[in-house]
Amino acid sequence: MTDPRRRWVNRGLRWALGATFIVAAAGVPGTRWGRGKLSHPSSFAGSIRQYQMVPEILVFPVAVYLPWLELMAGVTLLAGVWPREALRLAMLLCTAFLIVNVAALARGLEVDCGCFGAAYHGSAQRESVIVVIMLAAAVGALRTIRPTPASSIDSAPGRRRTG
Amino acid sequence: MIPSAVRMGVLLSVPAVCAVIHYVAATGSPHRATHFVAPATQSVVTNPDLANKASISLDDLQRLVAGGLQDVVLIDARHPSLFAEGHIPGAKNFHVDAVENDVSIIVDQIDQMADVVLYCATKSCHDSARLFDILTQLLEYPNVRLFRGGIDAWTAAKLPIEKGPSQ
Repeated sequence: MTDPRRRWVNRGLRWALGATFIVAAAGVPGTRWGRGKLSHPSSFAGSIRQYQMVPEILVFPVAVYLPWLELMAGVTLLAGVWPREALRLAMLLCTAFLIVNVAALARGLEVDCGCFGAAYHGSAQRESVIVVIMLAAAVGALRTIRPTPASSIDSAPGRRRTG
Repeated sequence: MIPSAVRMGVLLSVPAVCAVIHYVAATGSPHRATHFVAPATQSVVTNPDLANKASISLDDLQRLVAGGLQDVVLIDARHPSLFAEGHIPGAKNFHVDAVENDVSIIVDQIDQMADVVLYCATKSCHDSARLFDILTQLLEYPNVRLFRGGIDAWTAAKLPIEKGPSQ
């Protein structure tokens, strides 16, 4: 793949991922997606509780922390700040979501994942498919970052940033 | 140049600082039930057996609605925008987030001894289950039941719905 095409593929994947994380965390005002997890942590806490994987004392702190983490991933992916680390954070989040969804399915739990806010009702099966697509996008974006001798492309002297 | 591990640390810790501030703000008011967590054995959110015991069937709910909901308060626990799109006839709307922010909105309007039936969107939605926990555990309402199928089961049975905001 040529360098300009590689850059645009990388940008496209990062922007799509970033927008998805921001919508999941903050919602879209004025729409059904407007009730993001950030503004309704107690709704998200209810979703987390259904998975029965987090001790009760940690349910609410996790419900508050995860949306901020998603927002951080979304903003850094969109802005192109520290793209490698942002993509690794996105992969970390996707992997964690996938594990808990698969674990819930394996245990036969009927969960409403709450992944995209309080007014969105999606099953663990459907969310797992979305998360797998996001994980593949993150891996693809990471592979299209031009390899550099430094640990991060945007810190390498004399090199253009990917986004 | 900032090492990659430090960058990851920043990406993980900045949200943590925001979350701490958010957590303190969200749990600060004494009128809020936001942080309420029912004991696992008594919560219908985490205890499916308890949810089944507390549930009301579609046929029974249909009979109550057909009878004009005499002596029964039917509560839709979903967001007002979803309630306005369509709800079971005669239902009142008390969104669980609003109740968690200020429990007095439900205490002031629903008698504690009332026979209450709750529902939300689907069998797996949790708004009604959370409201059930708050009513039965925190506010000690003794007569609360869940219609677990939610509005999805009601419309799937081709039963009538009402549209518009809560009265």
